[in-house]
This record gives sequence, structure tokens and C-alpha cells, in this order.
Amino acid sequence: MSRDSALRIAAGMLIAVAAMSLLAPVIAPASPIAVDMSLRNAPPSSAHWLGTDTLGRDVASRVIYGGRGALAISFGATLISMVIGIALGSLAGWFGKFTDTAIQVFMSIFQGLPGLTISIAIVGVMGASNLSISVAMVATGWSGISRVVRSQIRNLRNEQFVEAAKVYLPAPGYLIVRHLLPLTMPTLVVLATQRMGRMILMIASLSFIGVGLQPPTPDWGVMIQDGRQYFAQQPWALLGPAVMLFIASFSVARLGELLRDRWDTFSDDAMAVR
Amino acid sequence: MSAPLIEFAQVTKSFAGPLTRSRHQVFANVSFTVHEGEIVSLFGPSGCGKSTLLRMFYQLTSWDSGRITYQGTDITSLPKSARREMHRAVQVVFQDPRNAFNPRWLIRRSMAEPLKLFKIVTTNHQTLIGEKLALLGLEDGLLDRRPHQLSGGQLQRLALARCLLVSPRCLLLDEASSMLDLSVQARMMELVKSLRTDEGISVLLISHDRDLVQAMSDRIYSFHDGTLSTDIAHTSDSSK
Ligand SMILES: Nc1ncnc2c1ncn2[C@@H]1O[C@H](COP(=O)(O)OP(=O)(O)OP(=O)(O)O)[C@@H](O)[C@H]1O
Ligand SMILES: [Mg+2]
Repeated sequence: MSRDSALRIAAGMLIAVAAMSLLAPVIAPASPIAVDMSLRNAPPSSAHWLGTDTLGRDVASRVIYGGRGALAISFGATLISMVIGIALGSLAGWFGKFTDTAIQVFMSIFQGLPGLTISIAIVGVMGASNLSISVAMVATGWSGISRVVRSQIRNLRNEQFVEAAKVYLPAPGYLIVRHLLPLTMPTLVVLATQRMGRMILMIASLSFIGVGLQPPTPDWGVMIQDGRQYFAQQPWALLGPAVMLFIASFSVARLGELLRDRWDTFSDDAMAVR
Repeated sequence: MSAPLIEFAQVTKSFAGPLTRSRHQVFANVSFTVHEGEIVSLFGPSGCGKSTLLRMFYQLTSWDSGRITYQGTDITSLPKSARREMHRAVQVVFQDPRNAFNPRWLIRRSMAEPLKLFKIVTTNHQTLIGEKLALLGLEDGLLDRRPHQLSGGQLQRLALARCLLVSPRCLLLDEASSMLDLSVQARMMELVKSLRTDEGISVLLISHDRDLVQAMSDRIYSFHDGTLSTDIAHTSDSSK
């Protein structure tokens, strides 16, 4: 498979998931939370493509709605993590010395935290909500980004064209934003998408163990937890959300890698600077 | 006599060695001057510290002791606006042309950068850039390429053209013609000489090419054993 078609497939999968989530109210055949006790554990049918769950809710509609929370939170939290990571990483990489040491210490505190455990703690303390989950995602997400940005800026800052630009305008803000960060763009794209892929899984994990998004919210993590007990009778209630979860997190992360590769071919020997 | 445009007085430089406490000295007590309208050369073996001297002038690297002055004022005590003006007036071509331009930018953008940052007022930046390219025998078409699509010699000439855009008083040229063939090099050097005669521009020339240095310079400084001395022989036969 050529790289271009791989790229198109990954992008297509991601667009499909995003479109499905955005348009959920339009395309879902039924309400994701309407309970119908007369129609519990129904097998798939034309009215209910994936059957119903133990409370008689339409599984297909719940799957369609189920990515909205996690995708929105992971997207927002990735953006915020990138902003913090890029800002602190740039400062540490550019200025070195005391600034670098201070930021590095701060960074390693966060880097040392075990991701899921600390997320559980944060959500536990703040109470489960979109806000607390976002805070947990940012707290565990920014330091990895900042570490990579720091090392890239460090490598680039003594390049001759940067020194030449420094003669024109010795302003760190200008040099970092105009000259250096655009050069790290391919890496940043990969970092962002991998981070977002991981966040989608982490949010699902939180929901799965009951501290993330709360029932009856239709959420893939919640649904996997609900569907687990009745897997033998109604495997569709678990497989539906599990497949979607996989597609979402995989396509995001894969898209980033493919974009980076494409970028590298574009500039072929241009990027003598890594 | 007025203060020299640029003066290095007893400058000593060492770099931190691989071990934290050790330092290795590159040169000691280096002194030289560049006056208005002079062409002065620095000559010396590879690794003696010529490029390092240029980087010091823009405070891109530190020095252990000694003084560097611009028009008689210590460069470390210049107020910000005077320092900006000095950076405009003294333009540099760094040694490695392959690395002189942002690898992602079009040459057009790199060329326009100093005009923008020094707020040079002209009716049309593009026309000005075109004029300077023509002086160095370069086509306008090169502007729409990226650095990796150009030869070393083209990049070197672009680097000099970029310096000329901001009407400098002085040029610091670090092996600025090393990748040019002889006829193109001759053309560049003629240009440099005419800039000196017509506009009174001073030049600090760094080159490995002894013939070039002797043909161009009013004064030659040579590195020997980690310090710099005037080349007496040359000074006597070409004194103005
Ligand atoms: N950042 C640095 N850290 C340690 N040593 C350095 C550094 N930069 C330069 N040096 C050393 O300083 C010395 C002078 O380097 P410089 O580049 O100024 O030499 P040069 O005279 O320009 O040589 P060339 O003619 O080959 O260009 C060299 O021995 C070099 O190894
Ligand atoms: Mg050199």
C-alpha cells in the first residue's frame, strides 16, 4: 500500500468518526438515553441495527453518540497541552541555564507521574466532570511535548541562519516563533496526534473504571463497562463501542505519523536540518 | 585621527573544554582595527579563531578579556538603539552559505527579512532586491527557490546581496567567495572594491586565499601561535 493511500485511509477514518460525532443528533436512529424496558437485550434488527442493551436503549445510537465527549475533551486537552508544552519547551531550550534548569525540574515532576493513576486522583479530587477530566489530561500530557520541543530548539538555536537573524533582530520571541518552531512542525504534528490518540484511550479507561464520564452519558468507555457483564448474551453492546474506540485512537495517531513522513519526502534533502 | 570604526583590543578567548573545569584557549591578546573606507584582512590557519572573532562582534559568543569597540564605544555598553544601528551598519556574511538561510523559507522571504526588520524605507523592496542580485550576476528567478535548490556559490552571492540591501557602512566577509569560480570571484571582489571607492564602505575580509588577500587589502593581520600580528611586509608595500 502506498503511503498516500495509507494517508487517505487514516484521514478518511478520522473524518468519518469526527463527522459521525458532530452529526450524531441527525444520523442516530433513536435517542441514546431513552429507556425501553419492554425491549431489553434485543438482538440486532432493522429498527435497532446493533440491538438494545439491558435497559432497552438503542446500542447503535449510543455508539454514534459515544465518541462526542471523549473526542471533544481529548481535542481540547491536546491543544492546551501543546500550547503549554511548546511555550515551556521553547523557553527552556532557548534560554538554557537557570530557566532551563527550573523548567526541567518542573517538567520532571510531571513526567514522573504515572498517567492513569494521577488522572484518577485528579478526577477523584475534583469530582467527575468534563473539566476535571480535561485537567487530568493536560496535567499528564504537556511535559512529554515540552521535553521534545526543548531538545529541538536547543539543537536549532545555534544554526547559522538563526545567528544571522539574531543580528537583524535579537528578539527571542521573533526567532522562536518565526524561525524555529516552523522547523519543528513535523515533529509537533506527530506529538499532537499521538497525544490525542492516547488521551482518547485514557478517557475511555477512566469511564470504564467508573471515574470518568458517568452513566447514562453515552460514552464508549461507559458502554464497554456496561456491556462487559452481558457479553455472552449481547456481544454487539461491547463490540460496537470497542471497535469505534480503536478506530478513533488509531486513526488519529497514525495520521500524524503519515503526515510527518509525507512532510519529510516533500522537503527531501531540504531538511538537512533534521 | 578619529576613532576606528571597529577595534578589537587585547581580546582573549577560550572555550569550556569537555571537562567542566578545563578550558582551551583559542587566542590571546588579539588586537586589530578597521577604519572607515579600509579593506583589512584576517589570515590564518583553519581553527585559529577567525570566525569566532566575527561572532564576538555581534555578541553571539563571549570573550574572556579585552575590549571590542565600535566608533570608539565599547560594544557591551552601547544603548539598545545604537546597537541596532550598528547591526544594520555592519553586515556580515557568515562562513557556511549552506546554512545562511532558513531551510524552509523561500529565498525571497529571507532576502526581505532584513529590509523588514531594519524598517528600510524604499518605494519597492522587490526592485531593490532585484538591483542587488543583478550587481552579483544573479537571476531574479532564484528568489522563488529554497536554499537546498541552490548551489553553494549562488548562496554565497545571495548572502552578500542580502547585506547590501540595508546600505551598510562595513562588511564582514568570512570566506565569502570560497565557493565561486575565479571569474565570478573576481567580479565579486571588483564590486567590493568599488563599494569602497564609491561609498567608502569598510571591509573585513577573511580568506584562506593568500593571493586574494594580498590583492585586496590595505592591511593584513595574520594569526601565529594563538595571537594576531600585522603582516609587516605587506603593510610597507601597499601603504596608501
Ligand atoms: N562552540 C564551540 N565550543 C568549543 N570550541 C569551539 C566552539 N566554536 C569554535 N570552537 C573552536 O574554536 C577554534 C576556532 O574556531 P573558528 O571557527 O573561529 O576557526 P576559523 O579560524 O574560522 O577556522 P576556519 O578557517 O576553518 O573557518 C577552533 O579550534 C574550534 O574548534
Ligand atoms: Mg571560520
